[in-house]
Amino acid sequence: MSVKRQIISWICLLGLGLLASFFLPPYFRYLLGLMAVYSLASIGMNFLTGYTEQISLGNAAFFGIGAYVFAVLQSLQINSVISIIAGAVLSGIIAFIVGFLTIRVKDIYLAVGTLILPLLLLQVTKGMDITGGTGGLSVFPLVEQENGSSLEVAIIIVITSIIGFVSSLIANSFIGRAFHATRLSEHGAVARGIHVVKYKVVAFVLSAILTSISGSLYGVVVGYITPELFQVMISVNFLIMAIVGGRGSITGSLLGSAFVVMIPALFNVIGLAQWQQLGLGIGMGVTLLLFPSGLVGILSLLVKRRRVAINESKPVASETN
Amino acid sequence: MKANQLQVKQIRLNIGGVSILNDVSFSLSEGDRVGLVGPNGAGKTSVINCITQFEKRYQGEVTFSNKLLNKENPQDLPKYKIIRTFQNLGLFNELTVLENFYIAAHQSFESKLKNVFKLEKEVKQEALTLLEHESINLHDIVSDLSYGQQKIVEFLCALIQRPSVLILDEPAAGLNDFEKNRMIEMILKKQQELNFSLLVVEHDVNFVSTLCQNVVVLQSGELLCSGSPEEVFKRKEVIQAWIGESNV
Ligand SMILES: Nc1ncnc2c1ncn2[C@@H]1O[C@H](COP(=O)(O)OP(=O)(O)O)[C@@H](O)[C@H]1O
Ligand SMILES: [Mg+2]
Repeated sequence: MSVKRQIISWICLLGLGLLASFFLPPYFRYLLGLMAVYSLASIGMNFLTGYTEQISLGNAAFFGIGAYVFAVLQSLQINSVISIIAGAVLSGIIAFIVGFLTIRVKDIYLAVGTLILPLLLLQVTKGMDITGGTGGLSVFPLVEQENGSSLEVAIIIVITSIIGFVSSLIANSFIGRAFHATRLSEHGAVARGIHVVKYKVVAFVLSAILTSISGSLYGVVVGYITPELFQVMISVNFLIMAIVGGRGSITGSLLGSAFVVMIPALFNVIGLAQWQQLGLGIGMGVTLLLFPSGLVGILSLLVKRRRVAINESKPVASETN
Repeated sequence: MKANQLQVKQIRLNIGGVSILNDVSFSLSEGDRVGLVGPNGAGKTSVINCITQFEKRYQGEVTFSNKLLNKENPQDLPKYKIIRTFQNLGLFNELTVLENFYIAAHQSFESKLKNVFKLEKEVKQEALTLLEHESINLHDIVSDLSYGQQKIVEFLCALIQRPSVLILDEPAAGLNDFEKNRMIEMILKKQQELNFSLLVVEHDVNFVSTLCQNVVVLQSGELLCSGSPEEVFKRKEVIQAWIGESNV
């Protein structure tokens, strides 16, 4: 997508989001805030699972790190922006180390390997005083008295839009293309001088940073955080966002985030809250059955475009000969 | 020794106790067009993999302008302007032709961070010029192209990488006679324009004879002989080697 088109798309999205944050009733405003927040984690997961095909069940670790670093620093009266950045930097450094250690690990082994970090952090946050133990921590609103005010959601929309826009610039630049290249033909990528290991680590770090920022803002929207943020189910939800939305697509990531927020909310609204998880599962099954390349596939029906996401048809793998 | 000369010295490759290459040596000087021929399984692709460092398990030396390449990683070979293609294509199927050209220019993007948008324009313009006489659109998805068109795109992508040595692994495999002739014309024309030396692995005797000034024949991992195409393809042992696997 050309830069001009990206700018226009993101400005429209930002405008719509701002409008909605001031006119929606509180519950829907809360959902809007969640969607915006999750969209960063969704993009983060997509850089891993979609763009470079590294499956991670550990992204909840970075979500939790972002949330806890923000909450702890906030209680120490540290500026919110600095707190968000601190979480992101810490997550980035940890991801760099983990990414480097696991670079030769693939597929299901990588998925299982990445589980270790969140499980570890789950225990640590449960056991420490500074993280509030099992009860977790309260997160104070960014502005005004209550979490989830119109102004606060608007601020979150602005922050997530800016970061989303930057992510989309990266995805459409030589970095995103290198991600695609390493996935589609590793030897082809190498022959073009692409350092495959480097770009896999870059994807890992980028993913962690986005997920961490998402975690910091999640605390703000919800008002409290608990060690449950490190649960596997959180990572699985990010995975669902990336896959149901559309692997290898920023637009898809946003749709995936909306899907994971709206389906359970729908069940909530019609009084079937206990069936939320089942609804999510069925919704996912139906979507992928109809649109194997994800929700973004619906867009490709509307607009006849070249490529909106990774096609369902996998290329035939060829070796170095 | 001449500048920009690629030398392969006494390459041996054993994998799992099987000898795949045995004492293979030859060199490629600036402006040369050398054909590396031989029956299926002779080790031609393996030679390319050793030169471009995709294969690391060999013994012997690969040098370019007197610099030893043995310790380099395969992704660093484009820095030496030693560029290769693949027998089974190394294109990125789900992406467009233009995106494939952009990826071919990846190293320029990495080194010119400040001017990525300008560079994108330049690459696009160059890709348009390269595709001038082709019925290939920049926005076509690579997997939607015919096999012959994909071979052409891969060759042109290699040109974007500004080769000083261009190594083509079976550029004519799977092409019909018309496409083969076009491929020869295109390679010759581009070589004159851009002045790279060429190493071509190819099965088709006509193709090699028309394109190359020199031929190196490989059989069962060993150098059988080398010389001009007219001379080499007349030789008994070469004909035998070919007939040994007749209907390829
Ligand atoms: N990575 C590898 N591991 C084991 N054997 C290999 C490998 N690559 C090639 N070979 C073997 O080496 C021989 C030469 O293969 P190759 O170089 O592809 O031949 P050519 O390109 O001339 O058809 C074949 O017998 C092939 O099976
Ligand atoms: Mg071969």
